[in-house]
Amino acid sequence: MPAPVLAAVHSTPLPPAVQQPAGSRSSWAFLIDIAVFLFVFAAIFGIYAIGRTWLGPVHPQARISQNPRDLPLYALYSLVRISVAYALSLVFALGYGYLAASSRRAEMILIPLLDILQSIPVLSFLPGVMLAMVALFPHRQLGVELGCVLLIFTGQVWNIAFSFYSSLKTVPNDLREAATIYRFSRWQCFAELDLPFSTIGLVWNSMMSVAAGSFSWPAKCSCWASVTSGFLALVHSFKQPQARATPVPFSGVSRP
Amino acid sequence: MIAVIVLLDQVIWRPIIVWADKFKFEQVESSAGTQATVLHLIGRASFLIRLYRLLFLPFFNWLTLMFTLGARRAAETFSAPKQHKLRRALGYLFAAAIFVGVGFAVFHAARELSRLHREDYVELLESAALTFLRVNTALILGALWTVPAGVAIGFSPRLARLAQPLVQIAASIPATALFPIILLFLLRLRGGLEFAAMLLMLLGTQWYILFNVIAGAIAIPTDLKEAARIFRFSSWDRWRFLILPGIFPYLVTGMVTASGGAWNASIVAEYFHFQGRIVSTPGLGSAISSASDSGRFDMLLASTLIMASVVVLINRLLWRRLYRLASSRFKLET
Repeated sequence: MPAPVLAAVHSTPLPPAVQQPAGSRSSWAFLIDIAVFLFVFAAIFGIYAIGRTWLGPVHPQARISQNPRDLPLYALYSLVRISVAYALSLVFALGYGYLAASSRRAEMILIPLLDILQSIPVLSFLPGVMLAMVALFPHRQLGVELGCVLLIFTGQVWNIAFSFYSSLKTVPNDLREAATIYRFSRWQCFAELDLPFSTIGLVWNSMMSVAAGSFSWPAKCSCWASVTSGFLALVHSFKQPQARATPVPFSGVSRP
Repeated sequence: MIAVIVLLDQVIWRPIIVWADKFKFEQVESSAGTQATVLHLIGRASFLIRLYRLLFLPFFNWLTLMFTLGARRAAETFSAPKQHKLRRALGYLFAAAIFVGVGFAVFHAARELSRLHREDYVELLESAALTFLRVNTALILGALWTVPAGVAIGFSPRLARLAQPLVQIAASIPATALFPIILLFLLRLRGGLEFAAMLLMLLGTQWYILFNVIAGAIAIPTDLKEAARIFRFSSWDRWRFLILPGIFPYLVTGMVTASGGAWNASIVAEYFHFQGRIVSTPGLGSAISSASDSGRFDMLLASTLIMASVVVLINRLLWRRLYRLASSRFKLET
């Protein structure tokens, strides 16, 4: 006999605290959804703007307009550069750290090598790398942008790689043993044990890296303007060997 | 730029930190969590979360399932790892190729280096010692203030909310941009550049230690913290038994990256174009920059090699031991 029970339920009034916020909350969520859609539209426009510039012709001398209306656009450019460099460095660091922590023999070589790489701005002695980037896409802005991304990348990777390596080394043994007993595959070990355990360190080091990368906005983009023009001159001089300019090693430093 | 950094902090980093909090290795949950404004705004019922549940979660589950061992392989008994003959041969081949390449490079480098005199080497070694001292002074100074500050930030969510954007802004101010201003004040003093070089290294590298210490302090399990409170640890004991062992691996990572950054910074810090003239102080960094300025390739090569070997030496003698300590004594284990 369900009817009396139902009546009893209906007769007790629900506390208002439960009824009302549900409605207001969903309308809130609706507004937020609209904001999210607007954001997505903005992102699509951003991608379009980036694509147009990067695939567009080269501007050897960066023209920086003082118009404040252009500032958001420049911020977007820098942001995209930093995020691309950051994504690259995260992938590289995860791979490098995993490799270094997984094999003792690899560790012997990889960790000192990483230390050397982070202590000496190798890239600054290798203008050839930049040159290759520019030479890869001689008619597009893409080459210059890639070089810039690479430069930011060298300022960002090292601490993420070290952090991931040290977290891998300090994963608690009981968790490792549990993973072995449960027959985790390598991927599972990586995705469900190593990555979660190293998340906190990775997050804070990523924050540091992005901050270090954004330091390079002003520094890089100003020196970049002069450097790229020099490189472009070099590229042209390679095409006509008799007018080759003497290459000056680019002695900018990729980290503070 | 500051606006963008604050925006990034609010929109990206704060939610990520809240999310990362669930990966703490602990049995009890901390009561006062960090709060993210954006996460509150998005709420639970929103479109983003629904999208995440609808698309990303199934995808990740599928990915994990894809890579799990098959039932048959999982049922195998534990066996000794097999020796792959082909892989081994490939490894030897790879090593031989690297060996040949390195030998070639060493031959050319030796020819280049033989042009230098013994005095040059003595001078380079002296300057290496000077830079070594500078780098380590900067490191120790940095660690001295960042460890207490980082622990304070990591332990208190309220302080973290305030300090996080500030620290990020401070970390993203280029030390090289501040350097001329510092020089302006310090050059009048005797040994001003000496001091300024150390200051530049400190400015550029302390953030690595600070961020890692914060991460380490956050990663200390709440149950250990509570146990320390229940047993009424004095603050000295708390530091000795809870905090320092807890942050140790993170501190080592921070110090390693900071020392890398400091060696890197020595190249700018010791040799600076300032108001149309060159200010320099003896050191390995200034040797490198002056060699690259004057195009002396042999000198550049020698100084870079010395720097690399010093770095490897420190890595072998110090950091590797500390890492071993971190992975044996200061591991979280039940």
